[in-house]
Amino acid sequence: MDRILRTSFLPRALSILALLILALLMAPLAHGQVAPAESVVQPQTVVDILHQFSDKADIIFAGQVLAIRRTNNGVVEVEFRVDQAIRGCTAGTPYILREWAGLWAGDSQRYRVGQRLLMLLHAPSAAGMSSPVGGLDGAIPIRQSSVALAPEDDLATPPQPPYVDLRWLGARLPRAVSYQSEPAPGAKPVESQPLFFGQLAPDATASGSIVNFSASQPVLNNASVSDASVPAQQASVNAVMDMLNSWQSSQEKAQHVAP
Amino acid sequence: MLLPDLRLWLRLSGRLRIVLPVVFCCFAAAAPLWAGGPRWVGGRPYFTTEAPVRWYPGHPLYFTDPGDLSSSVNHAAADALVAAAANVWNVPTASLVLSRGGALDEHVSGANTFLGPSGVIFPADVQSTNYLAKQIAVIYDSDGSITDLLLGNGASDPTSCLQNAVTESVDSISPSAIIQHAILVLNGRCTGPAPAQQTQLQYQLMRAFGRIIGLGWSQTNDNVFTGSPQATFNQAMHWPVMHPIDIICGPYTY
Repeated sequence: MDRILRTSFLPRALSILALLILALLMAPLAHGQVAPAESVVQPQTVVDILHQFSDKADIIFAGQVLAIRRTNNGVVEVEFRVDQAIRGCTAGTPYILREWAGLWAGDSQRYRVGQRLLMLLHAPSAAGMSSPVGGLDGAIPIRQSSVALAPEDDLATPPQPPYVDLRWLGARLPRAVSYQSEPAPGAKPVESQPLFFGQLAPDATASGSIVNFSASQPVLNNASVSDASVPAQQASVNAVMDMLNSWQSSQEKAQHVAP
Repeated sequence: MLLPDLRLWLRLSGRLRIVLPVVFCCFAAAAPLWAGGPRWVGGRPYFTTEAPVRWYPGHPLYFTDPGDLSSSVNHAAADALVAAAANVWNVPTASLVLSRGGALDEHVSGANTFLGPSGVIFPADVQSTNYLAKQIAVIYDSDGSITDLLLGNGASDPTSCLQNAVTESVDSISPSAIIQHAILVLNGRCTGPAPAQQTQLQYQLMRAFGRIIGLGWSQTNDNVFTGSPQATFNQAMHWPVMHPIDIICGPYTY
């Protein structure tokens, strides 16, 4: 149980009792897990999740959607320009993702032409169909900084680099929960923001990774109060691609060493 | 199933319950449902009406695969799981009633499903053209072959169950904004000897049923997740079933 329960408003003894009950309750769940479940390590950071996705993906690249074609054979083709290739494709050569049309039910737009994405994909099935690892969480948006230039900034100001928006991956993390007492109308919250796990703290270095996320470019540095709940779960494209490359290299070395 | 035990736990004394809802809110079957608006609203040029897309009549029947879901979940247990997930949506304030209409004609697997010249070919009674007889086909993908076929190799792996335990598709909507047919694929590799695995699958299936009956995502009480403003206990207890973020209120076992 790595979940943290904040029970500061309860008597300490009651909190301990509650945690004991939780532990007892969760024990049989853990005890009865089958082998694959036992091997799953709960991620603690966004980097952990990205690493898990990377391990599951057979095709990884950063690119831009060039075209979307609905075919007559139950497949939707999404053509990408591959800018940076990590695995299973080649930079500069278009990659065509073929998705089951059932995923596009109701004319839903899973991708848009012009969208830039970091794609982590399953290998195509025998029928040639594939999809991102972890659903659309494996199609990670690459965004341009929206930090507005001040009027006095001249054109010589370098543009903000694009960044990888990892917030949907962050939504998969276990997190602390805290409650406030039911407020009287108009009352202020009794406590500030709860702790969020998975934030890319300036010096956060994930286990197994060699890239220090201090290289990431914080974008929400002037977030308003309404944005305060959004953790800075983003990093520069280069930082993420370097990390994916390092994992790829490690994997190749491990495969080379393995008998 | 754990559900009766959980209901018992939920009757714990008031103060103790305050620290438990995060773990238990995923078993909210006994609590009021909080879903969003319609998933789709009709509009031209395809639709002839601008009404929300819905089922007609309000009593779509689902038909379950005659096979087992896995070696741990036989056919009867799988049917019970599906019924529990579907019954959540049978509420007195809605005219829609989800109920079982019977069984599919044959166990659906990679042996009888493939990509043909006009799309994925399922057994005849599973196909959307059969919507007058069978509106919702619930497939027990015991070996994960259907999930892999549709989503790619390795998609059915147990480590991907958070996303791929249930695959849903509404594959026929008429121009009059009526949902005619849907498919649910239950990944048998996401089940096992641990009851928690089935409970989690049931939770995901409950959400998938919500999607195929035409419900959109809900962001009610979003601050329970974002923490801004800090949530109250009451808000946490009313986390929407159809929130786009799949929070089972405790770590998944996979």
